[in-house]
Amino acid sequence: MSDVILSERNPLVPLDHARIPTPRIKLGIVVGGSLNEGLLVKLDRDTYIEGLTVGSYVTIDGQTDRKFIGLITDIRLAATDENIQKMPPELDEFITRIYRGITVFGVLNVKPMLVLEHSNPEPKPVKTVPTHFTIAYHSTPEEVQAIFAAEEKQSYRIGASVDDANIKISLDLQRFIERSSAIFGRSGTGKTFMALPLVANIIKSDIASVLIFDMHNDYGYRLKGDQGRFYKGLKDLTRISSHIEIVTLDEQSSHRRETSYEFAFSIGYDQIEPEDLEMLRDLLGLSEVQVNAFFALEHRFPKNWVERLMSNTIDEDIQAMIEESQLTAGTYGAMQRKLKRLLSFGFIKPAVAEHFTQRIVDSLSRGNSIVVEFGRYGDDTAAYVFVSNFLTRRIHRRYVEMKETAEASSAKGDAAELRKLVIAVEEAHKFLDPAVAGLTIFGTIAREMRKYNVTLLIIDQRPSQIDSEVMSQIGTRITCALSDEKDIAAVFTGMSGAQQLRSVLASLDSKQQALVMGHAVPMPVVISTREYGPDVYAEFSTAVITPSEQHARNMAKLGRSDDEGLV
Amino acid sequence: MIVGKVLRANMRTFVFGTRIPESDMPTFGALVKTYNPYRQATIYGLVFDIALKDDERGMVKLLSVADDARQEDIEWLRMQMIPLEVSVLCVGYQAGENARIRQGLPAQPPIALHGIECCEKDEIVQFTENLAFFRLVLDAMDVPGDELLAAIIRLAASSRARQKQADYVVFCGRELARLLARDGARLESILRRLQFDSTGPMPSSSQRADS
Repeated sequence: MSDVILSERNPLVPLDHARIPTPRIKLGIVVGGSLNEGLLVKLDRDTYIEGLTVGSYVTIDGQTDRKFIGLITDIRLAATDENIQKMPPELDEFITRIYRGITVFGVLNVKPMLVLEHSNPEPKPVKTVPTHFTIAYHSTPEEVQAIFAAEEKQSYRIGASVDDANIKISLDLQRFIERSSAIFGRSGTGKTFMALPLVANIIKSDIASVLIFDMHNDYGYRLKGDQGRFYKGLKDLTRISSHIEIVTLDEQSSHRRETSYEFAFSIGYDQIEPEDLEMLRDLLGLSEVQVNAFFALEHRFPKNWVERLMSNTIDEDIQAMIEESQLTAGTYGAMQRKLKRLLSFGFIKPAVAEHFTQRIVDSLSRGNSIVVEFGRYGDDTAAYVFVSNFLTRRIHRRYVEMKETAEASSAKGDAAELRKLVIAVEEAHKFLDPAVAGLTIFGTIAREMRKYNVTLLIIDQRPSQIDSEVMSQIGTRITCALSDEKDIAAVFTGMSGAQQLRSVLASLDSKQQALVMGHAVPMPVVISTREYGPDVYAEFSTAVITPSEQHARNMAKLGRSDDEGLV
Repeated sequence: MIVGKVLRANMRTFVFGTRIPESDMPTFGALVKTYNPYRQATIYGLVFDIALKDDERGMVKLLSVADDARQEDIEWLRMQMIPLEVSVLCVGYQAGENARIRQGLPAQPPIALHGIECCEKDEIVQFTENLAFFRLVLDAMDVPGDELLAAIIRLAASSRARQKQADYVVFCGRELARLLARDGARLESILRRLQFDSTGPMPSSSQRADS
């Protein structure tokens, strides 16, 4: 088998003619398997099976100059004689030395992921398998790092490989926002601690605006951690704080928390559409008839149907509807009663002076990112679902219009690309449940809004409750520990051949470990997540610039040399 | 030293007769060789049976049933070099003086009345570097294969330097483990026969009964 070929100039990039011997640890040989089900690697007698972990990488030297990179998805103990389980030999050192590695041995299931070719440093997706008896090695740090080496500018270092803390794993942010993405994990696994710096980096790299529905007021100013520790929110990260706008639904809560905000978001009765209520059917206990009645009312009174519905007296027009059998008096009363609960939220008012949604869209279009703080309403699912859906439906509408306009301009040669938008939504299963996914705008966005430059960042603890059609559209999945079997299975929905990674997912530590797979990484990887704290803050600090540096920057911006002066 | 001559032979086994003193008698599991001049081949085999024959006068039979046999008569008879028939399992051959030793059945059986020699230590070491003959022993019919394998492994190990003996036995054990991959019970029973005290020499230190 050939040694690893590495460049002397850059040890991360495999190149021709530059041989630097890299110590490789042989694990065993390929003895079977398939592309779909993964390869079987029989471990050598001297390989310490305890030293191997699922999620580690394996390099298999092909017959030609190819190297197959795979992921350990399972580790098994096997025996040539099945009876050995029922009738193990009387063991002593001599017998053990003979049996181990021959009669009894370890087997790895290795899912082949990528192929590295000697002539091409760019890893390619795997489409074949190495032959029998090819040798499997522990992937060297250089091999793994070469695969995950991303361009500095638009990548985010999400953590390090669990195998080797020196192997930094980066997400390609451009690809991350290209499709909807998700962060899954059971409660307490650090989803928010992962999402916050990720969102901050998207904002910092200026590739998209982000709209965050901040259910628990974590993202704006202060993120509460374990043992009462507080961490910086987006607004406190100096380098991006000017691009963050905080919008609150609950001014009192903001005052109590002593946090400032751009404006208080409120919704007028006249802005509510029946579609906004349709998906609250279960939460408000609305029947099919009542939902249809909303549409009938809106059809009849497009400007003020909510106001009329909530009026204490039944006016003539409503009476006419009842008489025309478009509405029954009982339904009318029930609708009033049920809607009253929703309309009692402080941010819903009979009349508002401004259309705040437009203000949010404008701000997003300008390149800002917005955190919608729910204050005390975050604990009320109806409020959370209603506002998120309300806002997102309108943003969706605007983005479709803007995209069409942008495309029309582009056709005329005026290349005005619409800014990308990422909508981060917690407790996403409330919108993407199979029962309501078809009704909410989030289902639509997950399915088709990539075309309109809007994608979702789903943050959720119950992936099994998310519509499978939506799950199959998710590009990048960052999954922390999950305990429910259904949730573990659901994470792999729509990912062909990924079922073998279930054991990898099931073996994650409950904190600070995650399996990252999909569009934004070259191959699935188990990471030790980067701790959110001073190190990350430092990346968002504004560098102090000396006058001479500032002068040099100004000159560079003006395209002038030193002796020309600024004027 | 010639220890006997070929009496009967077939492709897999041969029998030689001997009247050598007990001290020079080959032991069970010893590696012996004979020569086939027509093929110019040396044939190697493992001793798997030693049968005691009566002398021509039937003295052994008589003394064995006599109630009042005298001790001096018994001693005298023993001095007469009682004839033995030694059965050997063919396990390899060397077709030509400088050819490689091959482990397998020879092209022709040994020739009648050709001499039999016991292999010396270096020949034993050379022959047992390769363990392909294990399969022949394990598959042999009417041969106590398990015992025979254990005997030859002990012999081969004891022919090596002391510090290499333990590793060699493990090396052989692993080959056996491969061959008996589906028969754990048989494997274990052979391995038990091989177990040795790692602090002491191999119990079988010679292929002749001179200990």
